[in-house]
This record gives sequence, structure tokens and C-alpha cells, in this order.
Amino acid sequence: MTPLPHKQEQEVVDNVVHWLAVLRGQSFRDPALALEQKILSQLLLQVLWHLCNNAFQGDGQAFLDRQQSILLQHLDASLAHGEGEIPPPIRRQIHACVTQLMAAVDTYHGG
Amino acid sequence: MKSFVPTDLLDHLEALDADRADTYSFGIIGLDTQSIVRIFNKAEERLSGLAAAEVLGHAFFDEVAPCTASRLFRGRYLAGLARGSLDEHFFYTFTYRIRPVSVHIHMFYRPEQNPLVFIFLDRVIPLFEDLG
Repeated sequence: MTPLPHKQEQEVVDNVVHWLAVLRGQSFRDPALALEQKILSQLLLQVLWHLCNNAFQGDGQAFLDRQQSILLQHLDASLAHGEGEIPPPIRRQIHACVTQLMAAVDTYHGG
Repeated sequence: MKSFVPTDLLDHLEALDADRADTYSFGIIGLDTQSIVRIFNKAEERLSGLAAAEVLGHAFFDEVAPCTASRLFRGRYLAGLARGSLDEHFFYTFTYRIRPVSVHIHMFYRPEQNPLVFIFLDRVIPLFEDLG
């Protein structure tokens, strides 16, 4: 991976988080549609957290630096905030969805 | 990468049970082949802030430390199981739901001595004390 300048990484993530808030914040007459937006947003944030974590941790040759830690914590805080707006059973399904997808990689590679 | 785990411990892995694990100052987690936590020593309790009673019997990658459910961590564990041996070091910085902490990980599996896969964890004092 070509390293991005830290400031650029932070801006990209900030923009994604902001844009997701905009997409969630539309005035839907159907409350279920509003919940659907929250669920999709949460799923995307979880995937983004794992994408960043994998990229930063790399192959485990070095520790994260301060800015990388801040960025992951920022994403984590957004995730924690979003969790409060989603019913626990659906929250567990989102978590299971991501972990099962990632486990499929291990199965594909034969462990 | 030089290990922080005494050679004597690795050479006598068959004697490493929960009581003996508690005598070490670094973290020791023992997983069975289904990734269920079977050993979680006192040092790891202190360093992680998790009580052994909360994690013993639970799936490590899915329930205890979901941030580790990736190739870097779980992938190494599964590859070691498939090979029938594991002796790998790597660095990992935990940030998920905790204050960032960097850890030197040594994963070790020698089934002829002990059926558990061991994760030895040596904390490095975080440099970012200001990060909550």
C-alpha cells in the first residue's frame, strides 16, 4: 500500500463519516427506512474500521503510530455512537455479517 | 525477533496450565482448536482489564477480541492449526474500545506437548498517553 499522508487519511475518513451522517439524516416518512440507513451506515463503518486496521497493522512488522491510532479511535467512536441507535439483535447481525465474511477468507485460503 | 517468553516455558509446554500461567508477568492466553479461551492468566487480566471469568469458555476472535478477527491475527492461528505447529512473532496495536496499547505477540502451538494454541503477549508502554 502506498502510504497516504496522515492529514489526507484523516480528511478522507472525516468526509466519509460526515457523508454517512448526511445520508442517514434524510427525513424519511417510513421509520424503517431510517433504520435501514443506520444499519447500512454501521456496516460500512465497521468495514472501514477493518480496512484501516488491516492496512495500518500490515504484516505486524511495526506498531501503529499516533495518527493511525487516533484515526482508528475516531472511527471506533463513530461506531459506538451508531450502535446506540440500532436495536441489539440487528447490531449483532451486522457484527456477525462482517466477521463471517472475514472468516470466509480464512476458509478460502485453507486456514 | 527475540522472544520475551523463557525458553524453559516453551520446552516444557506440557506443564503450562492455568496455575502455572498465573506465575508469569506477561499475558498468556490459551485457545483450543475451536478458538475458545481455555487459559487467561492473571497478568492478562490485569493488562487487558478483562476478568478471566468473563472470557473463559468464549470464542476469542468473535466475542472476546473481535478486532483480531482478521488474517493478521486469526489467519496466523488457523494457519498454525492447519500446519500442526506455530511459532510466530508480530506486533499489534490494540485500539478497539480501549486506550491504544502496543503489544509484542508470540503465537505458539506444539500439539505433541500441549493441545492448546498459546498467545503470549508482552505489552509495550503506549507512547500516546494523551489518547483516551
